[in-house]
Amino acid sequence: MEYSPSPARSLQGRGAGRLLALAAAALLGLLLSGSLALAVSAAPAAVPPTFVVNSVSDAPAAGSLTDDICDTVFPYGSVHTCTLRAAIMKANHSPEGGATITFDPSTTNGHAIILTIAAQSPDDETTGDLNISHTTRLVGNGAGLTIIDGQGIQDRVFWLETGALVSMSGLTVQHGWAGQYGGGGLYVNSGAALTLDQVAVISNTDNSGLGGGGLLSGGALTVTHSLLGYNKALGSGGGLANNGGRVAIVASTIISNETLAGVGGGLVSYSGQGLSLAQSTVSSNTAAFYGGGLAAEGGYVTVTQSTLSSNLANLDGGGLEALLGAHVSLVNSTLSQNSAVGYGGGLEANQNGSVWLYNVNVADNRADINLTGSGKGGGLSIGSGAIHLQNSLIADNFASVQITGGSIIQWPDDCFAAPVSAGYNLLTHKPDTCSMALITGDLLNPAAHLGPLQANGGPTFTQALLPGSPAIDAANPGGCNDPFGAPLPTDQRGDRRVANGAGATHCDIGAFELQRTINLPLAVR
Amino acid sequence: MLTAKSHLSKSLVSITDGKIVGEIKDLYLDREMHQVSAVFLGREGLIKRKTNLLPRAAVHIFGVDVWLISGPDKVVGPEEVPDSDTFVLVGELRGRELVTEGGTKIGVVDDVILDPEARVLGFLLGKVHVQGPLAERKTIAREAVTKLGSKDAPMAVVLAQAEALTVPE
Repeated sequence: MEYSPSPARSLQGRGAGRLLALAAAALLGLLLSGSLALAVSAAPAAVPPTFVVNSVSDAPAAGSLTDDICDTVFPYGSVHTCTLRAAIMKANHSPEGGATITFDPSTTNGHAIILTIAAQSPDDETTGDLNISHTTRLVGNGAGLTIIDGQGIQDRVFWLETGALVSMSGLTVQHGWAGQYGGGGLYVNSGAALTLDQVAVISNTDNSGLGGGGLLSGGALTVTHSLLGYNKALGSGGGLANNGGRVAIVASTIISNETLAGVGGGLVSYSGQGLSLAQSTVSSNTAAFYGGGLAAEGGYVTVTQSTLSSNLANLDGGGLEALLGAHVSLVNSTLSQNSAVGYGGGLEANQNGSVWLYNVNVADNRADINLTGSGKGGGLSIGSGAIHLQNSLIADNFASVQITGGSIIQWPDDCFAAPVSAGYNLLTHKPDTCSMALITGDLLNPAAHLGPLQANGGPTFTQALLPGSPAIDAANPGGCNDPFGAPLPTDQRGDRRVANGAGATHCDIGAFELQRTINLPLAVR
Repeated sequence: MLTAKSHLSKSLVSITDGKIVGEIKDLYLDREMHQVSAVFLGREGLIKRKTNLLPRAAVHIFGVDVWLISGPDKVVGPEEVPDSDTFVLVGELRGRELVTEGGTKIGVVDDVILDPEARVLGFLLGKVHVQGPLAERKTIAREAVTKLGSKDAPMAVVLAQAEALTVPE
């Protein structure tokens, strides 16, 4: 069939020809006037808008959502009232994208922005939690000054839709409550990305049972210099749940979070792209079941230069639990003062979970804290999983033992079942229930000479090796290596490895490298 | 039961970056002893000892494990906290005598009982000199105290009220 243009299309063609002729004439004129460069530089560039929140009220945007004017009243007056919800709505629909939202210090500093518009059906951006669907930066004035509070809506605070690339800095997200989907403070959908820097996520609650009291992420999440504290989850992950996404946590603190009926008091990571934790502290979290500090249920988890301390599991794995095929690597890290009602005060591997320890301290942890006789392995415990350790220090852990007469008492107990040594580990107490075979370089010595868990420099608390510790210079002469076989250049604190004054060129067992002490001669006149 | 003693040594963690700023060395109550008005973080300096305080307004969460605070810059000297010269240090309250308005000795303050928001509910007694409900409970509700006393003067209570009022658990 022969093509026959429609009358309209012919008209468009004629119109286009005329426009082309006009443009050519104009271009010629510009060239002649020498003003082409000026014309090009004056062409409007797509500048991402900045919205300044100047009201702590909760009200949706007014006017066109694409006009880049943040106001809650239309027609616009000479002064705009810009709420956070209005700013996010405008950012979601900004033609340029990439909006930045800042907060006017004079009207918002120290005054919580309390969300008050309860979720309606459908729960869109105008009600309930704050839905972010576009690339957006939220720049607060500091977590103590810019506070976003969900207490008035019975909903979480932020919901990031697929495709949203969001960064938040210098603010607090608090008092969110998730009745469905999980993520009491924030929910990051699969395909979304969130970066938190110097953000506090505190006192949020997951009441759905799907977990993530503070935050649930199925996307890409990066957390730096931030705090997740006092969040609660009915499901798993009191502070944070990684639901198949990728999570990187650096220089942050996960503290006093709780699961009411789940695993991972501080953090839980399910199978997916995994979770990495570096230079961070996971402390005083409580799990209803497994993994007081951290539970890995499948996937890869890497913990480096971090401390898990004073966490509690009401079943097993006080500091950490690896389950369901999870592969956990701990490097230059400390597990101390964790407790389990059942097995594995420090950590447990079960249900095909596996844990690798590289220069790790597992010290002063306790299993069977209720003295029921139902828990072993104060430091390490294996159910149906595996634990491998090299250059690691397993010391001064306790579980229980039944003594003559039937009483059950706390008893030194570093391990249960059969951890696999890769050599050069130090254990203080290996009970009969621990069948770990000692190989080259392994030491069994009841006096580890460890200092208390405290600030010894570096980003986290550590336990120093005290003078006379058998761990000094006792690591593998071939070096202290990471999971890939590369030498560890520093200890947990960031101090250089192989630095001790005993004269040997070996690094120390455990997470702490005793630095060289110089004894200057005392000049006596 | 939350007491001032139970908060001692807890870390103060900044919500700005999750770092530990210090620890609770003692607590200050306001002059009327209704609530914790500041945290005492200790003194520094060898010659001129400088007291470090954290005002109540800078405490974000009075937590059971740690207290979350607004930032390290909120730690100040007493001269920067209004009315700090009227504050009562719990450590100095310990051992204060409790008497009836007629002067009969009832007991000695051992600790301060607080609610989860660090408001004063009452006082825990060390020694008890009387028999009856007070001897059993060893607590006195804040409302039963009519005179707060001073370093040199005892607290006064109405005995009947002290026996009738219980401190909430």
